[in-house]
Amino acid sequence: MKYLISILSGFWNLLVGLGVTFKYMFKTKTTVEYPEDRKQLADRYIGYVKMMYETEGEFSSYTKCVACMACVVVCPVSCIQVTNEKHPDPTKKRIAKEFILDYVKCEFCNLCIEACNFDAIVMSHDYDVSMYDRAAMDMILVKDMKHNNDLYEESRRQTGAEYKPIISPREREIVEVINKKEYEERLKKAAAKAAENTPAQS
Amino acid sequence: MSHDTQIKKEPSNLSSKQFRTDSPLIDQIPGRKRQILRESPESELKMEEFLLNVGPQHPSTHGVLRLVVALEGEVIKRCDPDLGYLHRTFEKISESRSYQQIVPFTDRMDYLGSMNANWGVAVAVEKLAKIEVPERAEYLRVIVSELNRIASHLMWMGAFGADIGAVTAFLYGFRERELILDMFEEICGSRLTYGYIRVGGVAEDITPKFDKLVREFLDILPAKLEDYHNLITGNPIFLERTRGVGAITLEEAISYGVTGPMLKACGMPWDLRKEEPYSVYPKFDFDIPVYYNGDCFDRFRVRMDEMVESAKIVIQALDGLPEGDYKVKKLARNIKPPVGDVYVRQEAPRGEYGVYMESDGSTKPNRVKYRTPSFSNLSILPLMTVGWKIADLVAILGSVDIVLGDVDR
Amino acid sequence: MEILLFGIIGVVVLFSVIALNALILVYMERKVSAWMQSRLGPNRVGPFGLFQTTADIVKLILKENIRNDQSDKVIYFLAPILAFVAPFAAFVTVPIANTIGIRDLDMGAVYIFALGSSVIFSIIWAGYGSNSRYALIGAMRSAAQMVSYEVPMITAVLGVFLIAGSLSMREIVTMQANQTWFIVYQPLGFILFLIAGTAEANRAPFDLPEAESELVAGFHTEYTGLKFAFFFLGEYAAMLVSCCLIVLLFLGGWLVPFVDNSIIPAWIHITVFMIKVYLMIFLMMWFRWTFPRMRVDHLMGFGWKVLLPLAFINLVATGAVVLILK
Repeated sequence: MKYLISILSGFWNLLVGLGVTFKYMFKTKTTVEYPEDRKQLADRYIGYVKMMYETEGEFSSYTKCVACMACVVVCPVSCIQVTNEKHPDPTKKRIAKEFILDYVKCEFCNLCIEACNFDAIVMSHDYDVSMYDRAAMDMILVKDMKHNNDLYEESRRQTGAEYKPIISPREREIVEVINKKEYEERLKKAAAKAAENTPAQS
Repeated sequence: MSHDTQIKKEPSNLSSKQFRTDSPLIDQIPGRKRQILRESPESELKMEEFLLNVGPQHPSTHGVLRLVVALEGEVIKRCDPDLGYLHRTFEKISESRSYQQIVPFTDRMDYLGSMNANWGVAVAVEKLAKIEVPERAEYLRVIVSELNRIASHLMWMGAFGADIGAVTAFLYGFRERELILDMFEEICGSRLTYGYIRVGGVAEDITPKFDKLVREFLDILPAKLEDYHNLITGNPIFLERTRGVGAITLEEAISYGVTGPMLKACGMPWDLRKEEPYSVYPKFDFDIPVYYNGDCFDRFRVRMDEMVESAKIVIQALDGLPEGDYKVKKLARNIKPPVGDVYVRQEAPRGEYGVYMESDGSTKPNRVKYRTPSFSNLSILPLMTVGWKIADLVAILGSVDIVLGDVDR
Repeated sequence: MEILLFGIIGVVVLFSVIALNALILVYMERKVSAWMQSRLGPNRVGPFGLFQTTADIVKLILKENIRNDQSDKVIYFLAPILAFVAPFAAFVTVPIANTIGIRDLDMGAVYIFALGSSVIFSIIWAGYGSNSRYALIGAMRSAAQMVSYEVPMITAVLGVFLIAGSLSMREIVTMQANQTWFIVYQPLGFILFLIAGTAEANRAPFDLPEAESELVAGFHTEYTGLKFAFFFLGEYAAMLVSCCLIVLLFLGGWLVPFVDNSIIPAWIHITVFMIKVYLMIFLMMWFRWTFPRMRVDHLMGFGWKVLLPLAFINLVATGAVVLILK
């Protein structure tokens, strides 16, 4: 009798298991159909590093990086190389001439972003950058003092993926708020300086 | 009941020189009860050992683990794990980096329990440099590491189901784990290698959305767990495949340094969160699940119950989250702890995770040693598998819950 | 000449029907498994991913054939052919409607069982011929497994033959038209035959020769390209045979329930038959994606200790009832 009950309860448990899989046949599916549909990324999402640049004034499209080497020092895998040059803007000292980030080494730890005091680099929401060439993973983010973020578009063109620019909230904040504020401050400073200089001349 | 350890004939396509012909681990244990092998009389048919090379590329070795298995029919006579395929010298790397830079590397060791791996290193450095961590940071650490424990066990449950042959459980486990990864993405931007717990606190404060996500998840978790129990635990085939399979006694487990759910399944409620309370764990009310058979099924049950207990801790910590800073405000860029050494041990999802760190007063540690649970738990595999079938090897290996990054470091 | 022409046309028609069905089954398997696992399944190639399996087969045909250097050539090449030909040949006696079927043999059932069992040869050949350790273990398991489920399967189905008094497939279905479906008389036999039929088709939870999580891919570990495709399609053809047998023997074949079947046109019969077969196939897929795999010794214990005694009880009881009613 006990044996029979055990067989029947085993049979019943099999049926319960079948019920679970049957139930999920009609539930909403969890698949996200990449690349057409993409997951909504969190604001703090860590994608590829993007170089930020000036958007206001005569030095627009020049990189914001002043080659202070804070990111180079803090990087645990030493994947950043920066060379510097004299800044074309006389109010500033240095500017990065070349900024190379080796994505083969990078471990996306966010330490360089936290170390940057000039909002020069941010973690973008780009995550599907792929290359046919290992050497191309040495991404040149600054070339001749100008930012070089087209690399991401280039990668998508190479791999044939549809290009949809993703702008993270942080990028937008820097471009729309911080750059303007900095530009206004710079103008104010210049005006103050000019005001100092003019009475001396007259 | 002695072993026939000599390979009688060289296998055709595998050179026997590559394999050790004796297994010291197994032979040291006299009179093992579970060995059901019979030695064939010399006069009769001679049984030949059948060497099977499982891995490093094999669907069920959970990574690049190689097992050299000597079979007699389907029965395992010997099993020798061969490690080192994923060795990435993390201890040496840690010795050549500054104290804050070590943290991102620990993500890569136990990549299913990254939060716990980060935490051990952070605490070790804090103890060396005598840094006081704000209470809010401790609460956040407890929340994320317990969530990580749930994620790790969910993933384990799925992988164990897939090992046994129930592939659907694998997808279900991943589906719910995804929700936890969404939470981690919300607070630290990463889904696998978090680097969230840093020296002196956590990387960033939590957001209201995180709080909402956690509460939603904890609401649906019991229903999902019931589904898993209905799908797997009650299944008679699953019970036959796991009950009594790969059983070890408590003495064996202790002598091999087995910790975590595997030890709890042997009947010892050893959990560092209770035994050596660290962080703010004493403030929470939770139980340690214990079962007594030490077999695959009990390991399964321990992990399923641990998920419930972890959920309890998370909800308590979230409700009692104090206001304040989430990290130490003024922390030197280069920490220079005084000369000394420290050993920190914590309860990671897989067992005792220990970090030994020795400072010589400079910006880099002089010596770092990681005691990872997967490695110690794997060491008992040769003992557990002898006498079981090749199909059980997969089930037993799955029940150990190894992460090869954690084993080889 | 006419016979030859008839034969060639029959073979071509049969081959295309089975190949088409196998393709549909692969697609169905992937869709059903996906839905059960909260996924979407193939949906890129063609509308709803319908051409996914076609694309897969084209890919397999174009792939390089890699052969283990020390494999036994003849056996290695013969195994995939037999794996597909055996279930294919079994279809000769499967009637899909009252008048439609290639050939009706008096000993039809025996013929189908004989060919169904010979798939095991292909598995053993593949395991032995490919000189791989995983394949050899798969073959060993298959040989052990076959003995333990083939006996209960035949014993379970003997009850049906006792009631029908015939071994011809068409006559068995005609008997069910006169009386009721045999599942009513033989519920135990039906369950036993369903379990054994799943094992016969090497489907999970009895897919021990393949056992992907243990033996990588079991007996066809060393097969690539077209040869692998033959095993792949052969597996689904075998499943089709098993389900056809279940429907013919227990579920009334092409018969429409509660209706006078003599006035119904043949195409409705064919549709009803296919619906029944596909329902049984769905059941087998449902099993596969829910249950864990059995262990080889458990399966043998299950076959000898549970299935066989139950099958004998069923047989003796049926025989006694038939004798009394006579």
